[in-house]
Amino acid sequence: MGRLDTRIAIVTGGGSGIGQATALRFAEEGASVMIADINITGAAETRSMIETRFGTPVAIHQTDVSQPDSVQAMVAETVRVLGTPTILVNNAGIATGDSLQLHEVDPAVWDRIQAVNLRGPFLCCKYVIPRMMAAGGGSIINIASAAAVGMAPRAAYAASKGGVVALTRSIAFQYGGKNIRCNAICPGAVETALARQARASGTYKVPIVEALIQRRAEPEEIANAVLFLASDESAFITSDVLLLDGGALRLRKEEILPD
Amino acid sequence: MKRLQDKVAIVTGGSEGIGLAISCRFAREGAQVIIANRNAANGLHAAQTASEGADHPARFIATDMADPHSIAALVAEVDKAFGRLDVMCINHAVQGVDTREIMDLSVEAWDLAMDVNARGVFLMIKHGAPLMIRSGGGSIVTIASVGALSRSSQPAYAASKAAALAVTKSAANHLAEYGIRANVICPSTIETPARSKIATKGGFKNDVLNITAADRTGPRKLTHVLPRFGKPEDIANAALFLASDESSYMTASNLPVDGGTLRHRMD
Repeated sequence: MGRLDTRIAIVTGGGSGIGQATALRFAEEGASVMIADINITGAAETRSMIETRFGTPVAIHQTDVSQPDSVQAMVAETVRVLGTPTILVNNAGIATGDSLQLHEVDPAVWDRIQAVNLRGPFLCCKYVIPRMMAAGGGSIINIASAAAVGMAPRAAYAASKGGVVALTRSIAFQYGGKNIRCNAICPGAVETALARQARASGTYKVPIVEALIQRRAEPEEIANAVLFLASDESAFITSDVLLLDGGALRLRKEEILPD
Repeated sequence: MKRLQDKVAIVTGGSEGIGLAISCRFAREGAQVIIANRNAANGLHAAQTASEGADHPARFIATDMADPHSIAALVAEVDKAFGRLDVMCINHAVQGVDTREIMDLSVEAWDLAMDVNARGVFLMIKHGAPLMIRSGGGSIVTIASVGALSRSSQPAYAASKAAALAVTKSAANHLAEYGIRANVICPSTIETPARSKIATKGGFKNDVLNITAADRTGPRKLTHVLPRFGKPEDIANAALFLASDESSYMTASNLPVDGGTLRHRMD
């Protein structure tokens, strides 16, 4: 008996990292999963992992979450192939081009980060919520970041994730009466492709925070929290901003900022 | 594989309401549950209830959470019986001590709330942590209250719960190196026998439980956005998440289980 039996879930950015781990965890618990990712190769990889390991219903869609047409097509495809979604995980996110010095941030970079990280969750919620209302309720989980609630080194990314936290609370307020819950998870340092990319590019030479749990989180550890918030075990939880940062203490300011 | 298979777990105040729901949930997930509270009749009955369908029979150990010696004896007895401790769910509390006006609140009522709700949490961690360390790590889950985060109308209760939250987060600092995580749950209004009793006596003048059944149908009367009150099982599910390895990267965190409170809150 899976914890998400008969549920239909959309996971954006499901082709890698936290999104992939979440899609796999959902499938393991019996959910049908739509993997929406701009990187269709990654989405296909997650799909084949699900088919091999669990054999549960799964679909993929090449989605640019910043584009209304693309999101609408993805939602329609979900309904057509899997059925009405009652779980939405807004996980797709980027930090590409963001800088440790705000005055160096290209306005186009700022716009693209806001478009994917904040407009994306808005659009996905906008087109999924009517389906959830028709189904009698649902659960939305937004992957924000510890950067949204603590001292944050990168401004464009932090601002977008701060927006996600505010969006979460507003949606929780608006749709609580319709049995739609909306919560955010704020991960700290997670070992993902995004993190490896940041290290490889030399943006961060050392871990950017000191945490009580002295290692990066595995994507599976975030996925377990997403599962909790997606399932009925969290039926009385909405508008929460769940800090999953290993007990972060402080930023290593001296070591990461330029002289 | 159950989610707390063979873990030794103490649940304080585990004999009724939220605590009983936690004891039952933990037991059904394979834990060896020890219910610690003062009233033996309640405790023995709760242990029997929690044992139904469980791998291990739940046990009751009479404990007075206002008495340091009693708490030390509880841990010593768990050590003797099981030789280890993996989970502490610190749930016990006195409520209903507050009066409507802070000017009328007695020093004795304040002290009782602080002794049981705040100092009791400190003492459980102080005495339980060494056994957890010897067991190679574990998880501490403290049940505080949204009253600790928002403008509560119950000063003694809210202050004691804010202290419970702070001491738990602080303990996370000291215990991380031993593989012990410490997190807090902040429930809002949960329908439990204890609260109903107080509400019936007219204890909470401003409380949502005092509004009539007819009032409750209007969602605007609720202090949260979800269209129902919380149940003990809601808190038990959250406690299971924090007690189990599924929350392995979470420490010094707070998890409100409040239906999406409409009160401003700070965290």
